[in-house]
Amino acid sequence: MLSKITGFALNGLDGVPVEVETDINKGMVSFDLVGLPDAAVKESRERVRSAIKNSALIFPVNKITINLAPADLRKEGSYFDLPLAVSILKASGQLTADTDGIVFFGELALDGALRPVNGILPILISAKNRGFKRFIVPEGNANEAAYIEGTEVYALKSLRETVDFLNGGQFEPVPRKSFSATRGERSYNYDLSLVKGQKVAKRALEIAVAGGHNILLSGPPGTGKTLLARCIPTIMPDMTFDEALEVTKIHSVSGELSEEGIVSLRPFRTPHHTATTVSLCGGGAGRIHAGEISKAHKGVLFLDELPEYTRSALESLRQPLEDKVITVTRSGGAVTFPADFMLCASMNPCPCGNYGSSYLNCSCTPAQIHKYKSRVSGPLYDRIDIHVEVDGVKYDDLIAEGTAETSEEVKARVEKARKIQRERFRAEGILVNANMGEKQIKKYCRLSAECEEILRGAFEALHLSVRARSRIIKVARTIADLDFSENIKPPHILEAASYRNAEIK
Amino acid sequence: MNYTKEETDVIVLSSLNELSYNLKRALLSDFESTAPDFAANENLLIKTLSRGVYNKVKAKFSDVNYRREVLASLEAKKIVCVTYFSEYYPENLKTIDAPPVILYCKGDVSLLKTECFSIVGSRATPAKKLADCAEIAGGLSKAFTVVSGIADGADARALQGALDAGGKVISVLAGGFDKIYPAFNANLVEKIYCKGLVITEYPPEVPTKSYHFHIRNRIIAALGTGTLVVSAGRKSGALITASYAYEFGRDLFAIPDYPDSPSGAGCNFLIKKGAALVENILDIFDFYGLDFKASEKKPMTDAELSVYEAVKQSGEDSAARIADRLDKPLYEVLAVLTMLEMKKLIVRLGGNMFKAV
Repeated sequence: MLSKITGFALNGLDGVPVEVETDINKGMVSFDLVGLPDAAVKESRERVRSAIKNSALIFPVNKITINLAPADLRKEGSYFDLPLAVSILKASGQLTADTDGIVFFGELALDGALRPVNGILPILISAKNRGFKRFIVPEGNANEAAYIEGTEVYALKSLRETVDFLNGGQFEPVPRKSFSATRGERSYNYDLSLVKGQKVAKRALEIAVAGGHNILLSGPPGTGKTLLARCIPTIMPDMTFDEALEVTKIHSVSGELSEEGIVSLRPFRTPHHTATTVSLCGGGAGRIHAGEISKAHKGVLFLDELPEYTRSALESLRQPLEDKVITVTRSGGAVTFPADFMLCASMNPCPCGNYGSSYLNCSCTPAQIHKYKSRVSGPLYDRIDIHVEVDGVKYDDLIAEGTAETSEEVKARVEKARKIQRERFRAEGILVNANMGEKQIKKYCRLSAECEEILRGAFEALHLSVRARSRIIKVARTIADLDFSENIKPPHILEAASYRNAEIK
Repeated sequence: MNYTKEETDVIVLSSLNELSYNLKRALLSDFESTAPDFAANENLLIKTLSRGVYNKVKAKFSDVNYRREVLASLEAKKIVCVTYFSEYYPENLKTIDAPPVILYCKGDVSLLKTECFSIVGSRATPAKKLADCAEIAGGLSKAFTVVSGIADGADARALQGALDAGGKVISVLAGGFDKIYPAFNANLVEKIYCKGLVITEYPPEVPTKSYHFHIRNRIIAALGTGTLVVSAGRKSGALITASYAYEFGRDLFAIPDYPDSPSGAGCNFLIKKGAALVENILDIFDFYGLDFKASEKKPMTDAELSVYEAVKQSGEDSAARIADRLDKPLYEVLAVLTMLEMKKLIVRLGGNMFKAV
């Protein structure tokens, strides 16, 4: 007998339908799986055999051939355990119910229980777009499946339950969850009010987030650079549902989804400086995996100790910083992952960390400092609009009482500035000032003669590099937006010029 | 550039890299006659060089083509040679034991005839002292031509400070012009070609060697009427310059530091030995009985004035504290501070600290 069951395979962030065709014939006892299965899928045979037997069902003692169509697509992972098992039961006549239009996923335990799998959300979305409505998923994936409108998802515990369900047993579909409710329950562990002192850095963070600028924090060790960076997501506008779905897709595929099934807080990724180009950008043999920059999509990518990263890893960030997506090409094909992240980098002023400190002595030679700083290329520095020095914190500052602003208050201002930008760039297809190209800078950042004069003076007096010009103008535009000013005024230019690192040229 | 026969002799002699400084000097009979006297020194030369090399050198010296080549290549590199016998040769150099036979110059040669003041310091000078260094160099440049090396740290900052203040500078290199060390200061060197003078006693193709610095420092010390040591470890090149200055009878100045400071112990040592203590530019001007005219204050707005006063009052302060004290929003203060920085009324130290000039 022949049976056909629908499953889905992952290709990047897309689900591709896979027909699981099972044929049971008389002949020598065998169990063949064809259609480019990888090792994990081949191992399914053993799990499926035991799971069927241990669910008080019969594993047919015949020649079993299973084909995963389309046969030219490489199938990975353990999603196919459940469709394989159902398909065998159907082909052997133990299951007669109609399975058309139902999509199955799930990994089987040897006792027949269903284990959660990665990547349910992107598959669900792709399947829904292809017209599939009914899904059977492992119970552990119920939360993740609860946010998609227009689907009927059944989260089941075991193969036995699946058979009962198909035979007409009464099961409730997964209740729909509202994103706003989930988001309301969750909050960040950090808050700007926890950061003592550091007012200049805080102001710089506010501007950076308001205009979508990348930021570089430089300062001696132990001054709170990491804590400041951790506060960035707390002042970013809340994610919309669509943004959350995009982010969740990536995290789901990577198997990094938490219990609640959706990413409701902006991601904050901190790859270690030993990270390779592939781990940052994505890649891998077989199925192409998303890299850290994609996992930081709509959130923050924090590179602590920027010059310690390998040159090739840092250079690979240049293109995604411009394009907001990364296309990873491997011999097996190309996959495009979104990578719209805010880059926050931190660095010490020199290898020993004490350069510029008024009370600690730096033991580095100028050549060492120069070498340290030039590990990061000029083009990458150019993509970081705001360079801010973090103050050395004195003990008195740490214990000072005094009320610091909370993230909530700063966020309110950021949201207002973002709104102004959205309206301004409605026709341009960009959202924030940082994404302006030269043409848009010319159009939206017209400088008065007075501003132009000041900018010229700043270049001469402060020894700025020519490349800093458009950076300063973009940042000045954001400062003007925070100030609700239609035009860029001299103080905006001056403040923007102060967010630069005089030592880096 | 036209050189006299005597000058050309010296230039060609200097280009003969087979000869050491001592040999070149011996050939010039201690500067009494201008024509190199090969015959009188034949024994010495053969002993040090071997006969083959001696003959080669001697032939090269009188080879017309070679002489033309040397001059043409210098001309192409826009290098002007000032020899011991040139009118531009500084008097200050003539009085020392081992005056350079020749100075290869790029820039305004007439600066060699001006009154100079040398500023030296270590490469690992803390940011605060660098700010002081630039400020003092700027002030000094109103009365003197500022002389220094080209190393990063105090030297480069002194030159930059003087240039920023519109003053004149001389930078003395420890190698030839072809390959300037450190390479990343090449920008500054380019600037000095236009607005000052770069000199070296080494022919263009001679690379910088570590032992050159020691020899080069005697020129820096000799050129200046006085020498200011901005920062110096207990063992440092700056102290070598200072000891030359002492030996040549020049005035010695040093900026004090706290005890045991790795970049200031040398300064304290000099002060103990009698160098004049310098806290600001006035100390040097008073020493020479000069009248220091502060540069005309650029007009300031009320906001600028209040921030400037606040910075001045506390010596050095952070942007956040100034804003707190003045009860003004931080972003306003940041804008004003940048303006003051542009007007060169304050300088920015590390870690968002500012200091009034």
